[in-house]
Amino acid sequence: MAQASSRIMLSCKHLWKVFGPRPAYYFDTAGYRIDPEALAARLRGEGHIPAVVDASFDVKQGEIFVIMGLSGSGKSTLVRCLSRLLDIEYGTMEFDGQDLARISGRDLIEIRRRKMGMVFQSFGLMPHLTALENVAFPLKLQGVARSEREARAREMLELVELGSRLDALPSQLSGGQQQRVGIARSLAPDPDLWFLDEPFSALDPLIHRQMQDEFLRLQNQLKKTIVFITHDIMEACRLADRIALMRGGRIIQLGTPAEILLSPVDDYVADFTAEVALSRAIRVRDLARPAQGEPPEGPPVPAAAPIEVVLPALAAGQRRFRVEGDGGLELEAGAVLEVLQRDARHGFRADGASA
Amino acid sequence: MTAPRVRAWHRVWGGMLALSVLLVALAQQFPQLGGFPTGLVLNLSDWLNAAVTPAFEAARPLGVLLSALAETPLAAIRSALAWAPWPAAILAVVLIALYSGGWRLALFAAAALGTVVAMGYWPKAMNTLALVLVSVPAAVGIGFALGALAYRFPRTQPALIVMLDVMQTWPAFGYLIPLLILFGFGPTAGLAASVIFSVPPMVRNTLVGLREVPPAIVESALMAGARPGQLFWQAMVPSALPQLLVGVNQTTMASLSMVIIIAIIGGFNDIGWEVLSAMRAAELGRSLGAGLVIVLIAVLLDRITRGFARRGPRVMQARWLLAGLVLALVVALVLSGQDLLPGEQGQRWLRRIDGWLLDFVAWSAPFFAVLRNAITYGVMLPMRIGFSGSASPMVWGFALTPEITAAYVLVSAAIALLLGWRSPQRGIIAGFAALLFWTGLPGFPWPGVFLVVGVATWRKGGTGLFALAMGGLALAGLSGLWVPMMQSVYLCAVAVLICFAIGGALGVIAAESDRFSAFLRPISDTLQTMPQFVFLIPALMLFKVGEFTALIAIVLYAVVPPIRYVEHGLRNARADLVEAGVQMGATTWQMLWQVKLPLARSSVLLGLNQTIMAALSMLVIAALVGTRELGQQVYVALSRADAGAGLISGAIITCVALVSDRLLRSRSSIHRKVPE
Amino acid sequence: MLKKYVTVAVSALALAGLTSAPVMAAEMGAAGEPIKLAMLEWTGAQISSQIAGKILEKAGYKAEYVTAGNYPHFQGLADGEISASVEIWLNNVGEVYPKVLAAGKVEDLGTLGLKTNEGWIYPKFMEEICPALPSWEALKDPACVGLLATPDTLPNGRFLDYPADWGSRAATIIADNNLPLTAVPSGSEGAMLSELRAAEAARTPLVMMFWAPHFILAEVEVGWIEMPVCVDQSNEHCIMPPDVNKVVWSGFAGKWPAAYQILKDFRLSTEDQQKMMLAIDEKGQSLDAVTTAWVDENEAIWRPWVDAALN
Repeated sequence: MAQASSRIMLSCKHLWKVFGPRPAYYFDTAGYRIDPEALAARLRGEGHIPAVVDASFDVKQGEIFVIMGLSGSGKSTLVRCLSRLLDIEYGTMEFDGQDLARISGRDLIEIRRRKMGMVFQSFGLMPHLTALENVAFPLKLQGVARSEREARAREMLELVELGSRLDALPSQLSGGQQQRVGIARSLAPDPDLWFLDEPFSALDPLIHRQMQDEFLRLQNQLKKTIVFITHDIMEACRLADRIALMRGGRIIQLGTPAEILLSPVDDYVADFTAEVALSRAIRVRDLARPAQGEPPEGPPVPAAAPIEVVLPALAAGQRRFRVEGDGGLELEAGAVLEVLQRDARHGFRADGASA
Repeated sequence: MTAPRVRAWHRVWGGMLALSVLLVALAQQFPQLGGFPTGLVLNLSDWLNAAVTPAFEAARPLGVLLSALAETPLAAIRSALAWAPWPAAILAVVLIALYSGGWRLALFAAAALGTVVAMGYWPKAMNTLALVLVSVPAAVGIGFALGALAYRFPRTQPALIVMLDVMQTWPAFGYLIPLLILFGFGPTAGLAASVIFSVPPMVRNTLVGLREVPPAIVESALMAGARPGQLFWQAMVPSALPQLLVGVNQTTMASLSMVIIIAIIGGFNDIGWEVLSAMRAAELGRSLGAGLVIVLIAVLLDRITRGFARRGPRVMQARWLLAGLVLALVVALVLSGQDLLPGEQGQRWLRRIDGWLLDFVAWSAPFFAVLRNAITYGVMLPMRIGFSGSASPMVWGFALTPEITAAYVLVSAAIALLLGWRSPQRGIIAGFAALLFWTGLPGFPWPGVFLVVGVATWRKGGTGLFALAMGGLALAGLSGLWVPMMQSVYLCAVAVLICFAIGGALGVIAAESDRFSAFLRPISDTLQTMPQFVFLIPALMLFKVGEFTALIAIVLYAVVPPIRYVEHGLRNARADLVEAGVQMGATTWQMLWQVKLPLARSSVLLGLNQTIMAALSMLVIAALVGTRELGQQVYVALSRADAGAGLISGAIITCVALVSDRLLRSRSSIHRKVPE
Repeated sequence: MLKKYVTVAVSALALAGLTSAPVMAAEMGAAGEPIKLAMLEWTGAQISSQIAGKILEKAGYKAEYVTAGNYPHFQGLADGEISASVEIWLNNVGEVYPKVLAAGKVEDLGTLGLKTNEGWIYPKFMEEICPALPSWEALKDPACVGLLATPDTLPNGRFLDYPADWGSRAATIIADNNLPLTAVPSGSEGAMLSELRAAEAARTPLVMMFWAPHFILAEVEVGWIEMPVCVDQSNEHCIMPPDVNKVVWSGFAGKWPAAYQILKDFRLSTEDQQKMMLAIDEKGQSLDAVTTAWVDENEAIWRPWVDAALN
């Protein structure tokens, strides 16, 4: 929820990733000229799987950019294209003044070593290394001296509150602890761009929230540029500055959580977001507007808080709320009530559907 | 009830049956349809020799170089082991065992090595250990490199897998001559044979291990900025380490099983040599003692390598192990030069076993004579010379009159039709069985063999398998080894039948009773690691030279896989289905036959596959008790130093093994692992 | 190393050329290099090897014993990996030996002096059940043949032949004399001994091909069948006692001239070997002790060979 600057960190244009016997055949260097949908249909018809179809988006410095979709939507493939674990068929990925899609293997290794970090759904910890050695692993690959890299690793493990389990092997740690090690490892080289591929999906649902809070705390501290993959719309709404919603390899909607929740582009997105309790997912700042006239009375509400925090006061009759910060923003009761009505409709429709 | 649908393949096999009947009938008139026509036999082995011998002789300088490379470390290790006084050596091994497997293993190591010393086999055992310590690292190194390359270049994998199968099924005796030409006399030729045989498990495990490295580990290493070399050595290899160590373990076991082959060439005065000498002198006690040494070394190496493969806390820290080893070295320095070995007492004690055996033979001879005759008349002769051959006054007490022939034809046709009415498949099987029982396996007309094997391989395995099978049959025919090949198939078939009857029953009991299973396990282990030569002596004394003794020797070795796989399959039958069976009120027998065995089907089939492989691998050893099959041909070739003939006989055995393996494997799952 | 050999060999040859006395002392040659003697599988050959080695040691050589399989060891002899093999049964040399001999890679040093025998044997108790023994005519008697019959050979009696890889003439001789016997190959020496021991223990009849000297003959009392007259004197139709010779690597004479002379003279009597075999195989004494004792007690026999070679 860090405030994103307007500087663009990663700019992707027309990314295509196709699996199949000879994907390159369909993309010549001059660029494709036909309609993406038509090309995707042709690829499917000819035994290929277009996993990422013409994806274009920018990730701004310091923002949490969530790519969200169901399994098979192409989101994991997309993040692997961004990190060049997979090579794309077409498109450009501008990062730090270079096109990631075209840099050499040597440069790529250098970028991964210093500027990128990644957290994996199934952790990807080396089973033979202790927590400390795992975190120090990327630095070891860079040739950092042992004392230096272990000091850094210790620091990182303390950051994720695992300072007491330095010598534990991954098999001796719980899932949540393992993922903290994974997070610490990905942060050890202090990357600018941080990829998290469904980092919490393999964990017990009970600790999801705890890990999300932890993640937000870290991000407040570190202010990384983040690409976060998830299939959980609630998680996406909690964490994201902006969400790219994927289906069948395409980004079908891109916007802030509030935009997606309140103005879904089609029925699919609407269905998708139907289960979300808007009063919890919509945040005060999403509905805030510049204060008009007298500043509202009463204690200010945090901009990042869900709107449900104002409900008791709303029920008590308060109509305007001051928003924390010096932006001079206010929250107006009408906007909140409108959202609550949508929530009620969703609930009714869901009940009706299940009856 | 409606008659079952007749499918296309029923028609195919029905047609094959009709053709085979026709062939059998015609073979009475045209003997050239029976055995492979001698007119077609070519002098393949001479041609092969003309090609192979000069090639290997030309490569001799390379062989000499490799020989020197292998023998330098071998001599060093050998003299180091010979120098180390046994108390120091035992101390060192016990410490390593303690580190690897804990107190129980350490205790076992002490007891096992103490036994070796007491039996008077310490120096020979150390020579054997020296051989293993050279052949295992070589095999592990080569296997790892091949496995890693195959992982890197996946296109090479199918060819590599076939090559590995060939290396494991080709009898080593069959290629000893070329190796001798290449490397000259000495342990290197034997070491090379040992490496050829023990490399495949390492390759397979390397491949599996690298393939099964979780993608997240590879990706996380890549994202950490690993270069290709770093990715391989620092992420993939350590992650695959447990599987690699399984490979090391299997390679070690395979290498030990080849100790005897090294001894055939000689030159090393090791335990294998002792087993062979004892076998030659027909001394059971000595060969049992020497065999026991091999078993103990095998079990010890097995447990120690497995212990290292395990991750987790150890009884002691590595630095204490190091300190202990230094202590052992000090002990060695203090004791060196003294003659600490016990005298001949152990050897004399071993010799007493021979006396007991002879007493037993004298006492039990009538019983075993009856057993031998019963199985020979009842099972072996009918399968070898068939009903048509057995029905003579000499064997079964009646002659083969036209009436009896007619009755046989009528009865078998009736049974086949009756069964075929309910299920065409059973009818066809019954028809073939009756036909085989009439001719005997080796007497089945050769075009019929080509036909039946051809159709079976074509349908199951496609062109590759078909070509392999036809090539193998043609090779056997053209090289004049048709009869030995059919004899081999017959001997193995009888052995596999008996193994499945006995081993299956034992496996069923072991699956039901933990105590019986625990009792059976060390016996199975011993049967598989004890050099088979040891069993030949008592079998010979009880059953005399001949096929029957060969059969016993094969059965003793090949009975282990059915025990293991049947038990494994039954024990791992899905619990929910078994519970469902119990809930439906199945009796114990119904449970076994209608629930558990069908559930264990793939494991049982895999066991069948392993049994066939084991039986085939015993053919060469069984030849030592006087058989007429391919194993004997391998020996004859060895004694004549006929590289070509040895290679051809070996190649035919390999073809038989590969074809039966692929035929069965297409039914059972391929990637199942051996139950422990 | 190699250079040293060559120098020694050349100087030995040069010396041989310079002095032309008919009886001359041979050079020691490369006495520092151990002479590698083959230790074949059977006790008799091991005794012969050990005794030869110990005599060579008395003469100032180093002897090393290399365990070796009978067939593979010819390759070793041809390459010089094995320097000498002193008990080679010429009836059991496979096809390598003739090849390497013809190629001049090994040299035959003549007989070891063992008095050998080869023929058909039976356990002695059989004379009770086949009274015509030891005459071969006993094997025509249906009652006797019936006792020998087995399922494999019916209606013939079973004759246990040498292993298939040894090559045997038994089948030819059986055919020559129209005997109702079927020859069954035995597979290995161990198989033959097992059968003989079991036959003795269980008193089951047995007729088999065998040879002497052999330690089993001290353990099991056997009779030798008086063979019929040979159809002709060829090896195919007639059993003749095999020659047992000493064979060395072709480079032996050049490298160890005196040892060559000693081995050429070396003889071992059947009786002595038989006694030592008994001590080792039956009484369980060690090979080393038994052969050392022989060398100590029989200096009168071997000293002249050493002296002839050195002086």
